[in-house]
Amino acid sequence: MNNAIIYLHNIQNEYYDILKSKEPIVFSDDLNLVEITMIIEEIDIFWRKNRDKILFDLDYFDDKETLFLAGSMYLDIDGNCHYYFKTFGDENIINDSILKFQNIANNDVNADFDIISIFKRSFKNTLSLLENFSSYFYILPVDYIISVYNDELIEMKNKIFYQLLSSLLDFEDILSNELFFETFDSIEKIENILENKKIDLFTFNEGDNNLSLKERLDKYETQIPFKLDDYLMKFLCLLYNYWNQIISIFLVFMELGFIPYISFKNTFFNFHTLFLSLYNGEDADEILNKIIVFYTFNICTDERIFNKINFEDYVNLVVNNDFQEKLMNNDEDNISKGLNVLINHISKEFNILMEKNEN
Amino acid sequence: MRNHPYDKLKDHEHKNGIFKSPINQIDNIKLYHWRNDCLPDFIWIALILDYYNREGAFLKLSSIFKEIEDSSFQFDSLQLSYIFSLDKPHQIEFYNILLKYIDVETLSPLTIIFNKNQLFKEYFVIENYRVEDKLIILENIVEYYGTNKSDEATDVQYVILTFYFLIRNKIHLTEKTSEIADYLYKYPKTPHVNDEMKKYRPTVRSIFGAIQDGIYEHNQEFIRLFWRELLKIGGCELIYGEYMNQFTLDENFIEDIKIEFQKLIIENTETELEDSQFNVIIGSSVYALKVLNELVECNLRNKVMGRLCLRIIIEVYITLKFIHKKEQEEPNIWEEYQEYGIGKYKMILIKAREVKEFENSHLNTELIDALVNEQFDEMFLNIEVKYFKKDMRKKAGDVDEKELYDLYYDYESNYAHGLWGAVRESAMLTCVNPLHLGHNVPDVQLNHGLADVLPDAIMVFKKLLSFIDDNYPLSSEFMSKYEVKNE
Repeated sequence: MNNAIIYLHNIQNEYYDILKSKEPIVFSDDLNLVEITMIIEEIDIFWRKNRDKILFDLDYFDDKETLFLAGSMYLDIDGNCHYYFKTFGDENIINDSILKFQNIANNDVNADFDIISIFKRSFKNTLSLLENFSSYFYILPVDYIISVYNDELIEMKNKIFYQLLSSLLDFEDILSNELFFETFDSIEKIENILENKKIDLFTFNEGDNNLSLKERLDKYETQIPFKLDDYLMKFLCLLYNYWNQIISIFLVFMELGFIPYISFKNTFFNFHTLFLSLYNGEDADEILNKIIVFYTFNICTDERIFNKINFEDYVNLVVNNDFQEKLMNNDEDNISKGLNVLINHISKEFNILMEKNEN
Repeated sequence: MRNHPYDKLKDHEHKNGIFKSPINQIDNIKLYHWRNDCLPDFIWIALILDYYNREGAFLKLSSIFKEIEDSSFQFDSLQLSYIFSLDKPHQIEFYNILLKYIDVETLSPLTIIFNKNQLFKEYFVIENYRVEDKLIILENIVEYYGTNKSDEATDVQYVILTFYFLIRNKIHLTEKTSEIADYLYKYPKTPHVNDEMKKYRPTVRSIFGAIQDGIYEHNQEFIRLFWRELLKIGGCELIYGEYMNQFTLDENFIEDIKIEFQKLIIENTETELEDSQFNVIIGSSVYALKVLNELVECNLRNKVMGRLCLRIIIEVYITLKFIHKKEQEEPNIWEEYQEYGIGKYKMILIKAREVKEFENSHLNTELIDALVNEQFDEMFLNIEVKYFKKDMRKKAGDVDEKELYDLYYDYESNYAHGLWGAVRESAMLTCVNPLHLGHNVPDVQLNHGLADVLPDAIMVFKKLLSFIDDNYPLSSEFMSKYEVKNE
């Protein structure tokens, strides 16, 4: 086992140098999609060339509690998100946000989605992380690493999808595409199951829960990139789309052992609902409780508090006072008693921590 | 088993320890590998041929060549290395010519290799074309257009010849070669499935092969850079040897052999004090049995050590057979064989006494001392450096086991000596990524398995049992149960 980081620090430095060299292009007024594509391509190639070194150093994280930023485009430093993220875990990984633009840096994207501005923000954050916080966070091409480990990624994702679907529809065996269509001959059959379980799917906007499942499928069919007439197929495709992010997060957890740190509400609730259907390891409850505590800390702590404390001092404070351990004390008890109890517990411990800083 | 046109040893010229292959006997031959040494410089042509259908691509290239002829400068070569060496205005002129006739997507995969070439990127990077997808295109190109005698590779070679023939006038045909001219003329218009192409294709390939050195200069540096970039960018696809062993050994085989040997020992107790032949045959056979047992118990059948086990059993068998044959000429040969073996131990003991210190070593000098001096004091023991005048190969020939030696023993000797063939087979993994030129990667994780040696080890051991039976009969039940045949 590799007990020390051999290559990653240099790789982070080289990545910083590449991004720094692109700064004039990115922050020019006339940055266009082709230039963004060129930058993404160069970065993609950079990660690929360092693949073996990254895989070698991944061993280092095996015996550490490693968190990865899940469900967010990038770590918002301006919003003090780095404080929240670094509160927990021994090591913290951020999926390279620039590579995420691979599939969306094109003219087909919705005109309301100002991709160039979002790219600039993402770029700025990544550069700032590498410049100022490289000893606290590792930026890695997590999705690419997963694809290296698992060359049958699509099959794996499909397998997980059908596992979830079986659980959703109370099917004893794991469904397959063929079995699904053999078992269900109408969308109404599925709607009945969901109604009995009081599950609302595809309720993205107000009033959606008053629509039938068929009507919701019609309303959101534009989220599927191709036209489908069959409602059962529409259901499968939309559901896959909906769960895709969760499946990806779960794959990272399973393949790399990184615990997801989730701060977005929708992602958190979806993951929280589905996790135990996917993972039945002995530590399943323990991990889920951590994810809940991480999220709850995020929602109950005012970001402005972090403006009063230097980041390095905060990290030392958290480590020296075993803050995560204190938060996780009686976690099951606190969680079971409801959100308010958990929030009170977290707030109390955080206040004690901040008082120590003032002293 | 595949046959090869030059597979006879007699076709190889044997001189000074080297068996020279037929091709290498021809003077002034330069070997160029089409894929490794040529394709990178012309990969842009392959991409065009692949993107459009064959007929369409030939038309477009023909139009491109006509415009090149009329360009503002003399365009000397189709090589990518040449194109990249042009000054900026001329490169731009060339790219503009290309883009009049081909989609920008055609050559876009090359931007991942020539990532530092800003001008090329400006022309050929397009949105929504991921590195992953470009790699797949390049893998297909190298796989199909890189195979030397493929139809696709021949098409590329044809295009190159056409350029040097028609545009650069570097190739001239005479009246005597008019048939060739006819073939070249008809080549682009004839589908590959037509029978005539069986004449046209070899013509194109042989002309290209014969004159390529004369019509353009291979840019080794560019070629090296090309493959180096692809090696770094593309991931290895490694093949591991995994074998499902089909041969099942009778679970009583080794136990039954032990019983037979025990009976032999009991029945020959009175004579064994004087009978060196018995001691050597049974002792050596028990040694071979120990090796066989370890092969099975320690699950070595798919491992490197399994090969060594087989080699030991073969050597024991051939040696015993050889000594037995020599007994008529040298009646005391069995005793002398034992003395020879102990003499070799004496050599080790003498050297060990010079070293003196053996902390934590398996070399137990007291034990060796006891063995060496067991029968008589070592001062009466000679050390024969070369007892048998013949090496193993000649011994095997003498006892009609040449095939056993040539195929099995010699093969396993590579493993015993750690020679490169054995290292390549057992400790290096094959990468089948077409972009990696068939390179090998060391099996650091020790996952690679080897073919099962157990069936062959049993085959040889049965020969040994048959030999034993000739001298000291084994039970007929045992012999028939395990189908041990007497030769």
